[in-house]
Amino acid sequence: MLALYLAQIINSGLALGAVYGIMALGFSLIFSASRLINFAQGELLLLGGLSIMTLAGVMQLSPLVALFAAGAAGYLLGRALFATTLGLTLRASPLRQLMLTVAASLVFQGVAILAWGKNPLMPPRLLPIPDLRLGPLFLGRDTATALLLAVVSMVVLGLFLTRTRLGRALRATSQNAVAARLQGVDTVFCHALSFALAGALASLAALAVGPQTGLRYDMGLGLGLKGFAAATIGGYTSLGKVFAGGILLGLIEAALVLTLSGEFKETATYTLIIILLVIAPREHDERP
Amino acid sequence: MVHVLLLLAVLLCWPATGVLAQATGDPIVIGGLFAQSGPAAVVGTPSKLVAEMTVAQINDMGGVLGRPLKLIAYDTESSPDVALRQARQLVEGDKVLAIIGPTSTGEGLAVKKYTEEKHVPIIMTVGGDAVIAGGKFGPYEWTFKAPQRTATAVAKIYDYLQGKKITKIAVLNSKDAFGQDGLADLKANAAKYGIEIVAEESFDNKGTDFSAQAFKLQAAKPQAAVVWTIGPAGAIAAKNFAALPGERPLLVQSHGQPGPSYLELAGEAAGGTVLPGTKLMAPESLADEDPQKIVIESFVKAYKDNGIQEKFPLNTHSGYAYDALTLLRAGLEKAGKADPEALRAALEKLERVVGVSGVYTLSAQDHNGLGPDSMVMLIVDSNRFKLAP
Amino acid sequence: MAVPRNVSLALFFAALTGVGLFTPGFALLAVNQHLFLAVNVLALNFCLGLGGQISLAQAAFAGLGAYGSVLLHALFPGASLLIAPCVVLGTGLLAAALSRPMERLGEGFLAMATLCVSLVFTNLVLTLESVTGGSAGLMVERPLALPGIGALGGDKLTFFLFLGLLALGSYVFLTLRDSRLGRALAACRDDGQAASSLGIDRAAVRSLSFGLGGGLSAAAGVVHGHYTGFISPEQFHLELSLKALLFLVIGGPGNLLRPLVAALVLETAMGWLSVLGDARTLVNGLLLGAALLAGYWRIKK
Repeated sequence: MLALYLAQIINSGLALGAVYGIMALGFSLIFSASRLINFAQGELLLLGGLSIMTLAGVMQLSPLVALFAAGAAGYLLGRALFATTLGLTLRASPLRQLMLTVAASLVFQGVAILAWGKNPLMPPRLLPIPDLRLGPLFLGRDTATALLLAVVSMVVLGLFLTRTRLGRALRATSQNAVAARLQGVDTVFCHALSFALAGALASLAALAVGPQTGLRYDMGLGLGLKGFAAATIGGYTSLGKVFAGGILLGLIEAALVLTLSGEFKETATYTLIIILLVIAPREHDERP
Repeated sequence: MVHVLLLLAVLLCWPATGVLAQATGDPIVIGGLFAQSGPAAVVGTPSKLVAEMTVAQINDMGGVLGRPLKLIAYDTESSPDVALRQARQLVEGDKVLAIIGPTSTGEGLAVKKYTEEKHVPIIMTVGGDAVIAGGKFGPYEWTFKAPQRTATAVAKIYDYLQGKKITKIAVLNSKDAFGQDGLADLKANAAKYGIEIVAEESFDNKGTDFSAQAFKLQAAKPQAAVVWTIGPAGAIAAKNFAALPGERPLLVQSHGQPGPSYLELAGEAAGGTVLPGTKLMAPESLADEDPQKIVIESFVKAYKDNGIQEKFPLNTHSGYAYDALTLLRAGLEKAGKADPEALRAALEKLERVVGVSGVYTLSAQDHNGLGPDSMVMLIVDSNRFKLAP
Repeated sequence: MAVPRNVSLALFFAALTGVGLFTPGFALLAVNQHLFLAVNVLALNFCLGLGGQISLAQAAFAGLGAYGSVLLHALFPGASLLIAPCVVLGTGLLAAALSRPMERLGEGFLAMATLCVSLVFTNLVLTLESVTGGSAGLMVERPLALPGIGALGGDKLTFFLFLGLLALGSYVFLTLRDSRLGRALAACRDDGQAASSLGIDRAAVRSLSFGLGGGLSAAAGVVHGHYTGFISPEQFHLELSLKALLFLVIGGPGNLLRPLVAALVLETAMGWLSVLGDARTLVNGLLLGAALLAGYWRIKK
């Protein structure tokens, strides 16, 4: 019986954590490059998912084309978000930039309402990944898709960041923007690139999250909060750690439900995050 | 009486022919409160469209008491504070006779305290029973509600389960007013039907996965699992139950779920779900002599003709605004004059008013007027709602 | 724009008083609801404008004030004179205590931690259903009452209660800003390490600004809860914190009047937008974005 419970913690934890983790990756990409918390991250997923759904309605999308289309749509959405928020206010206080992403999240929701209505919509499953069952371990196909997408995008992003010139420029910008500029790096372009990559990631995540929960105009904030929490646990900087933060958050929540009850889950989770932040080693100190 | 109303209903739903006398005189002004933005907008927006459609139909038919109706509607933003603000604007600014709405239970409670003090009849389209429960929620002399009570849906479900010889159930409810209401009523009435609640769990209805809760409930070995929530969360729960290994309990959903959204979002996992719904959800199953048949058929036709079907496919919430207006109209006609006190007294005495959600018979204690017989148990079979055997 | 500070302050409060005196009751309700938000904006200004600390916990403090006062009034009706100060003081002390360990967190982490405070409050209210009524909320039976004067309710009285809170808050804000303590807070805001090396006990001075902000929010919550006659978690949800932060940032943290005017004007404008129907959310977002950009371009010039 105990083994079954443990297996279920892993099953449910991964189902929750995969979504949190993939959201957290987008947060950390933007945060590490631009020191900005992007409140519109959930809405990037929403609009990315809805666009792909509409595209799938008019033409047959093979899995590869779907991946490419989602990436491209998200890339454009991310660029658009950058152009209307940070790109306009490069010298503003970080708080004003943060609040601009809040306004942008409202604009994105408004677009979703006008173009797709207020009813929840169910996007089709475009990636042919089956349910996985190994004894008591079970991964639903949406969870499996999310995990696979997250791992692949982490590897690709990791290679891009360490092996290419542009990737190194992006990392230089995130470590020290002034020094990077002095070395001839176009830091504004790097900021824009981080938004675009985060957008692409969110749209790809929509391929997994959309069929699991449906897409509705007001889903962004709930997803964004958990992604933000996961990114905080992971410490924002390393992609691997941030994704692990998401999985950890999912596992904690599942364990809380199974040992305590769903009633206390949220309270306990958020209290735990406060405690984690407060007792965490001093490396958080003096960080923006 | 029934026949007269039937006839009226038929005429009401036909497009204006021009033969009928147009309503003349000062319009009777009524207020509408609908959540057109915020989380309850999915229910509130179509409610407003249905209300406008119904008012136009009534006016084409010659209005009420020979006078046309005029609807002034405001957006409550799904917020109790804004709902109260708009209610006061309606009563003190626009001087309305009565109010239809609001949409969510929290809005309803915030508005109710004020309308009771001001003696304004209000027919709500909220799901929660608190607005007409009395006790700690205050008196409800002037407050009426068109959708079935939670307790009515619970009675329908328990009746069905009893017939299936099911005695052990588990409950999974969302942590909002609707879910909280459901859990309370399920607990209060279980003993009466010889049913034992062996486990209960709750979830946040913005969540993405409830498999941990589902697993925990299944471990208590219930014969049926009752899920109580509105919106996409119900479909997610259905999928989580369907993915569990081993013997799965019968899945029962609340009366907040019937509608194409549930089928679409839950997909195959919806198959076999049992849920109570209004007869609107199974129009083809109505017998010819059923007084609701013609009302429902013409409502569905008007709903399509007015283009609401495209934006908000017909679901269990669609008829409530129509019913609220039908009650209001019947009340005004019974009262014989457009006066709040007379309207209130008449509303309490309405008998056998045929609406989309049921046949209403109200009393001083019962400000809803629908019993379990206004609902049917539905089962999801090959992605359609059918009457449960 | 060379209007002296005292003149603009006097003009602002005179205009508000005029609004209060000449607006009919039901329209005053909207003004009162906007004033509730404005008091929360001012409360946040203590933490963010003076101490440089972001807080998304304002909704929780307002909610604590409302729930605390309503529940205590149910137990001890008529004891407003005792209950209201206790609730405000208690919430203020709690806010100060909470802020101490969070002081060293950077901006992003502090935002997350205070956001969690808001979420913990909402979830506690939901969980403690037997006391708080859960998500169905609580009907408020007892009004605020003063011995000799009687019940403090109604639109006009509530308006002047909010106005009084706003005036008191503004007075404390200005006095604090120009005091030695205010300069210590400014030092913490502008350069934390320099402040520490000057011998300023950062955690202590910042917990003072946090506590004052928490107390002011709680006071607003007390008045709002009794005025509305019904309280539920959705009224003190994260959205209130976000709105307060939004308007403070639009007006510029540290300024006294601009954020208040921004809150009152933009909230009123957004209320009118309901005529737009489905386009409303989009236009809301555009309006707020435009206000943020306008503020930025004004500063840049």
